[in-house]
Amino acid sequence: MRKLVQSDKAIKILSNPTKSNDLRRAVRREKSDTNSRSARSGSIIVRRVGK
Amino acid sequence: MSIALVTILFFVFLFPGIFFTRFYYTEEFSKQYFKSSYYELLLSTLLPSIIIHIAGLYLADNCLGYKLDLKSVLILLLGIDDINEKSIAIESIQSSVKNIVLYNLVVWVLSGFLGYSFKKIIRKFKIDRKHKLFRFHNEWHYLITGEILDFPKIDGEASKIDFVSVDAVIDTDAGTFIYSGIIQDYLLSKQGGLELIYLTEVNRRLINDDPQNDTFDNLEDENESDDRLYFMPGDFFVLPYKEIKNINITYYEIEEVENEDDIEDEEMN
Repeated sequence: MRKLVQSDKAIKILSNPTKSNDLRRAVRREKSDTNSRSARSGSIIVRRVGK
Repeated sequence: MSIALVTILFFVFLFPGIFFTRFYYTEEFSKQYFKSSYYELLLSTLLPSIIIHIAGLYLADNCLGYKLDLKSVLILLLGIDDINEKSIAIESIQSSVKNIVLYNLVVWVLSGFLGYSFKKIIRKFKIDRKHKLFRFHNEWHYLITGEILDFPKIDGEASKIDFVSVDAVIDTDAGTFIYSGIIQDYLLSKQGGLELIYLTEVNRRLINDDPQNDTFDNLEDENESDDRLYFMPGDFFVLPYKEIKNINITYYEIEEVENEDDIEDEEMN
């Protein structure tokens, strides 16, 4: 399977159970807040790219 | 001259363009070659064939001293009745069979190499994203990889993307669910549409269980799990596109910051 768009940073974070858990939470948090374009959980901040 | 011979010669003439086009549409864009109509394929092979033959014959003439015997080719192609001229043309071609075969083999290999290199240049310099003329017909690729953000008049920059999240609405007997996960790969159908999406880190929830802005504020503990969600086990979750009612794609970048707990721990030590 080819690597699509996942950056090395994302792959590294997803391979770490604690950080991947933080990532999942941050994404859920970002999606649940319609007024925000970024969210944080633990040491991970996710930001929307684009419009 | 027989129609069969003209057809064979025509195809031999078109082969460089066919090789060029076939290698231009490779990898994630290979389906475009097969879904083209015969008319489109003819047009897209004719122009490269003409250019490659002109360049090839020029190089053969100037570097190796081999000249194209255009007169003999035309005599055979046009089916001129003069037996003398015909036999001279056939003799001329027969005496150069080795060179003709060698020329064609070299040109075919170079055409494939040129087609692949041309595609690589178009992709490397993002020309397909900037100019519609060069855009490949695999719209899903641009959407799923986020390269669509580099299109003119669209905000964002694809190079910033760390991962792509997808929310897909799927109807089941148990209700309508939203499956959310990170896109790992996709598969196109023979018609060029999306067939399968491969996801990881997938969770599922009922569509009616929309999160509220204070969902996370209500969770007492940061690590408390969200009861609305069911996390799908397994390494890959495969979504068949035909089952999806609609799809929401979000592009994210990640920033790693020092954990506040770690800072506190260090301060205490």
